Amino acid sequence: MLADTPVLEVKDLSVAYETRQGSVQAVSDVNLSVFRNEIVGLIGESGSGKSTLAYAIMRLLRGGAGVTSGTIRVLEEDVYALSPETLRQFRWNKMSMVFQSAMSALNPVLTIEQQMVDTLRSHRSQLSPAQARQRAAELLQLVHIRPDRMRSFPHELSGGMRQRVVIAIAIALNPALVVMDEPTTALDVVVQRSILDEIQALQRIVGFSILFISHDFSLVAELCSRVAVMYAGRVVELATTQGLFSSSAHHPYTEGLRKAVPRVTAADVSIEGIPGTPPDPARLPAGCAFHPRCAYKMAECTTTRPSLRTVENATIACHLFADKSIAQEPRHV
Amino acid sequence: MSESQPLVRVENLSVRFSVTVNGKKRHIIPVDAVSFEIGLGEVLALVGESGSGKTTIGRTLVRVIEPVSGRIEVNGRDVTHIRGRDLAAHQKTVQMVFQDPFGSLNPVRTVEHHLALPLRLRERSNQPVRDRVDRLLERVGLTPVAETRVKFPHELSGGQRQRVAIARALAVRPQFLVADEPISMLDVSVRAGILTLMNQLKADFNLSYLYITHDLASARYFGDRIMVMYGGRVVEVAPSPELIRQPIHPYTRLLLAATPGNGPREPVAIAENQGPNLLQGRLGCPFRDRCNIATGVCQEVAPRFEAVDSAHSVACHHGS
Repeated sequence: MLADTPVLEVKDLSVAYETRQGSVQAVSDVNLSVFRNEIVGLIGESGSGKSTLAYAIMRLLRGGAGVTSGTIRVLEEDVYALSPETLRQFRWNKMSMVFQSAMSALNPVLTIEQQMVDTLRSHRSQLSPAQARQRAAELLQLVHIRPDRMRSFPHELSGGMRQRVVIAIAIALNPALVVMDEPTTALDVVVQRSILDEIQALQRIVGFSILFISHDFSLVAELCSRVAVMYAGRVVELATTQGLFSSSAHHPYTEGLRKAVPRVTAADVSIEGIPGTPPDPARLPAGCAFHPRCAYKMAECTTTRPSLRTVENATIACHLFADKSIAQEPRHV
Repeated sequence: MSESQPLVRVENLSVRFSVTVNGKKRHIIPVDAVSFEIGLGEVLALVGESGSGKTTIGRTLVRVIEPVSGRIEVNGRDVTHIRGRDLAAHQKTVQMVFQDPFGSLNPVRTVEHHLALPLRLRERSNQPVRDRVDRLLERVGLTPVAETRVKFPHELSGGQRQRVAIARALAVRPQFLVADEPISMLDVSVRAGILTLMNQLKADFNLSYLYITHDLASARYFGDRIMVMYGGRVVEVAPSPELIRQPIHPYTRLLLAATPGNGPREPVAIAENQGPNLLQGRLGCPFRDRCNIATGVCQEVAPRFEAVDSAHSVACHHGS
């Protein structure tokens, strides 16, 4: 899996927002790869930069936000080197995105069928209207929506069905990469579960890679093979999902998140929050941004920012592991 | 739970709303003949999906909504239809904490203002209001108090705002809190802090809670008992560990199977329908259309709520 070239390769990426108070760094020096047929999770809280990263990958940054350094390659193409027309074709064909709110991702005055046919035909001009309708029906069947619902308007569908439609549109042109930004957060637990089952099944059948963004630790752990944990704009840990729940070394923030969530069937129901709140990206603490909330804080944490190091089976940015690390250079992740 | 008198006793509670369906005026019954009790110092976790009626029950208990039938007793007093001074007194016994800590605080008022108002309302005291505000702030962990007191809601994080909302509820010294999804809008790392605070307050003041949530995991953590609702009806109630260990109702089982962090599992059935029918005059079991063991009787007859053992009850024709 790790041998071939990645579908998504984010290298030393930084994104800043221009505000009246000056430039605010939302994403800093992020390195992240997603390989073929892989689901990689990206966990973070509000202000961690996880959605900004997703929009940067799709080259959808707006409102004063821009990439200040680094590169994003999808299928070895530099996303920011594409001409506007190539980019338009590149999106949906090679990479697509599923947003949190299906209602605002769909056009309220067009039927599901019209929207799917529009998407298909604007990217595959050789398709006849009949062929596009046929393909739309197949796609909806894939996400378990009956063909007779094709003529429905978005408001006539339940939240779960709308999100299924959005997923069907996202995979309509067989993209290699689908970025999913909290796709199930607005849904009920049971509906969320069936959408996740759906995503996993589709991913097996159709074969695409997913960057799955979420705030939900246990959800990501179930779905993904590898997980990146973001805090204050930086990836602070990258680990395999198995490793995440093992007792091996972890970033104190990762460990804190794991302890903060009650597990429904675990014998031990105790939980422990992380003191304080996630920092404002405009006023990040010096040194390690997590130090004001960290139980293991040392003197150097307040002055020197730790860099990512390989520790046991994970990559962690924390001074605690300075002497345990195998390599001082961040492993290419 | 079997103490002589529960703090809250709800019997056959039904709520009716008017809606317009295809241009015609109809009634829906979002809460349909619901009965339960909450003991002194007990946390009853109320779990259900959106539209199950859980928020409506909470609002009816604080009597923002008046039920169409049934009975609510608090401390043995019937509060179902009280008005005026009686209602005001009731609302000092029962307080509510809402989901959205952005919408529940006044953006142009300081933290102190939010707490001083209910403190003045409650009783006359020799102590200056400011001291009592400070003690409340300390109690909910908003220290240093001198700094927090003068802050406006926008200067606080979501978790801090929710702490202010809890302090405001505590200001009138209630016996009972209705907490409606108090952590679902907060960051994961601060949720645990709010849950442990509520747990601490329960112990310190012998507070009772109706904890409304969609999340079985937090219900199990905070709730002494869990009550599961579907389509306006209670489908199952049991002590929290037992409900998780031995769920009986098909909906409870589905909910448990769907909850993340639950280990390997079978894929859950796909819910195509738009949710249960809530119209007045509906028949049968509310869950029948999504149920994999439903039979003819489930279409026509609403299952009775029956005890499996002294603390575990379920409403299912096929549950045992």
